[in-house]
Amino acid sequence: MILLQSPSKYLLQILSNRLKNLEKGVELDCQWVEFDDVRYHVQASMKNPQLLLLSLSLPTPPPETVFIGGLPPGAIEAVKVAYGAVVKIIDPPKDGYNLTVKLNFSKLPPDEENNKALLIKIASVREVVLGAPLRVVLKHLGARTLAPDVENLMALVHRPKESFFLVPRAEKVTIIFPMRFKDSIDTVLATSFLQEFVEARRAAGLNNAPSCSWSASPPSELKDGPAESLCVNAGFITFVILPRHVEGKKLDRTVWSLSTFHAYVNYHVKCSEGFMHTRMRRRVESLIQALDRAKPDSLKTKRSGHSRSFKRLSLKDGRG
Amino acid sequence: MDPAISRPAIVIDNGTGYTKMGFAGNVEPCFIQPTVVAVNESFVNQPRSNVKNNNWLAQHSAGVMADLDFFIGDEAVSKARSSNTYNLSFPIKHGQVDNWDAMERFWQQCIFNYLRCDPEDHYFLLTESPLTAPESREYTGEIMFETFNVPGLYIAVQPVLALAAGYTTSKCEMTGVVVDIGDGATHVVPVADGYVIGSSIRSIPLAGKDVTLFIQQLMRERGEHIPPEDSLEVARKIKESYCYTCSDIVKEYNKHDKEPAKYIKQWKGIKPKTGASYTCDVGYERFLGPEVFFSPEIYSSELTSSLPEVIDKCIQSAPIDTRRALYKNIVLSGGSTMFKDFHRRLQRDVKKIVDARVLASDGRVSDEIKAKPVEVNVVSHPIQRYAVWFGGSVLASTPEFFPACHTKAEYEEYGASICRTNPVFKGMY
Repeated sequence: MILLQSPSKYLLQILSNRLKNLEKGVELDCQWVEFDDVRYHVQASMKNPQLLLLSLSLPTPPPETVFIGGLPPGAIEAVKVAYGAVVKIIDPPKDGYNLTVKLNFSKLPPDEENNKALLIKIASVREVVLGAPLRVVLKHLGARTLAPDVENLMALVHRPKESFFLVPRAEKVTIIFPMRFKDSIDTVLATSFLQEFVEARRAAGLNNAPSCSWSASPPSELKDGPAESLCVNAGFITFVILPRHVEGKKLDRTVWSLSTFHAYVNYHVKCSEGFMHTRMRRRVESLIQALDRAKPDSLKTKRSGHSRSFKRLSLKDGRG
Repeated sequence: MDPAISRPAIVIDNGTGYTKMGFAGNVEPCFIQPTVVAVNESFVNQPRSNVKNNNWLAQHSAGVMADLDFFIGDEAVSKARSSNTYNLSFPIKHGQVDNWDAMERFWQQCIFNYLRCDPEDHYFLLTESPLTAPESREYTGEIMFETFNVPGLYIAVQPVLALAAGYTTSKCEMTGVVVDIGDGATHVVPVADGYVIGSSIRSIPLAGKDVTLFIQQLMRERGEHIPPEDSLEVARKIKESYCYTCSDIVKEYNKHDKEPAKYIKQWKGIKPKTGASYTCDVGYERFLGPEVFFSPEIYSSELTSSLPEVIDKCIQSAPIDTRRALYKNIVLSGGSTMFKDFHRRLQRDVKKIVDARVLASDGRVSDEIKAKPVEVNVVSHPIQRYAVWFGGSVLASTPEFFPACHTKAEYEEYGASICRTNPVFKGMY
């Protein structure tokens, strides 16, 4: 796996299992937490097997981010557009959650194909809700216009108490991620990963990818940004998104990749640590083998001497 | 306060056959996946030395891709079947981690692809078999703390968790014998007040895999037409869907012979190579499969003591003051105890041995003194298949769990040796 997938595997499993055994729907109550502190809570009852309550809690927004009624701006509209009649938003949401929706299985489209696509879409609820503001901006970029009442510098939440920044223009959108890591080793690995990432972008095959750059100091666009967002330990990475990156179906993918960029880097940092361990283990093994080979002969014979006591006496030995 | 404490802990129970993973506080694990990794090894053994020129980058990135080019669980099985580039590797053998590279990759995918959580955000509860060496716990700790940066880790013993699965607010019995029959290992483990009585652990080299092999052998000998490359898989599916425990072999044979239509099932499959469909009969192996636990001599001439005898011996070797409590609470866990009526048969057979012993001792002493009858109770519950996971989920959601964990700070201070022991904590008794 190289990229994180947008639909939540577990939610998708719950939904499709539920749909398969709709008649004998069992009591269901489970909650779980995904990366960046996105929490899910799913409830379904025996009485109304057609209905399923899905609650979503988002990471705590930092002060510079705009939240309307506990949700990023545009989220409600995005949910309505994405799911239509299948999903009903319940206001106010369940205690401790930012959004609660009621899913009605009886309103799913009848044919298999659309059905499956919609379930996957529901499983990607996180992308729809958290990515809503980014989506609006990128959609306007696709039309080469500027969204009304848009600020010069937008902050969007992507991790608990952390945000990334957007500078929307009609012809391009600049996106800046301040990168922070908890562990010192992670920080070092992430820094070199990001530098390598920028380097890899220059390869011939990636000419059409968004241009990106990394710097240890805050880029000029963030000059008048909030002070606390400028203290980082793995530098800043900047992407420039052009209209061709958000054409048609690319829009969804771009929104997802951008809004989970930190998780992506974190995943690869953990992977590289794992691979380093694999290699270290292999090296230790080969060194031990070398040591074994280098053992003086006296030691080796000592060992085999032990087994000699079990050697069967041959006929000749017996007589001699 | 550590924010990780406010999030549910992650419970991963790595078994030889299946891995159960999920979040503490839930009733069911999120995923039950075969413990298997499919690795693409075509890059690993490539000669590297002679290529000095321009395409080092291509090779380099191919190597990097190969590192990420692997699958786990059901995906791994289907990938390995459809293409030749992937090799299956089973990281756990007989309940012990055998291949740490594969295990680390397996965990990585569990965390990032299946549970999709950030390991820095959650405490972890992992499980191990009672016979695991402390070094292996150290290794686990090293991987968890170094690679995944988990804030806290607890490595629990599987049978103790299986006992905790019966944990309710009214009663919590942490004394009992756990009969854990997994895919790769069978252990009979006495536990008193949450502590494993290590000297009395018995294991039999007979587990779910052997049942599968036995069924495969029976079907092959009868000449059923199953494509050879598929026969193990078919045997496993037959075991999982048709096998049951009988009370008496001879009677069961008679029943099958009298009413074959009622007892003999049909299995339908598709040949993986040609795509043609085939059918085969499922007959005596339905009850002969599970029977290997009760009369092992039908499977292997080297094994002579049956499961009930082993359980009895195990309890007899435990401290005398715990024996009655142990007989009273024999708990089943693991997928291979799921055969229908398995617990009834086991209870009857153990009871038979115990009663015979009581009768014999009564005969030896005078008539006035009668021994109090020993209560034998085999407990079975519907979540048997993932009882260990469920017990972990219950324990990890108690507030006492977090202080009992080894934290990252402790690991950095003292090193991996802290993982050698894991304290029994309050929630357990």
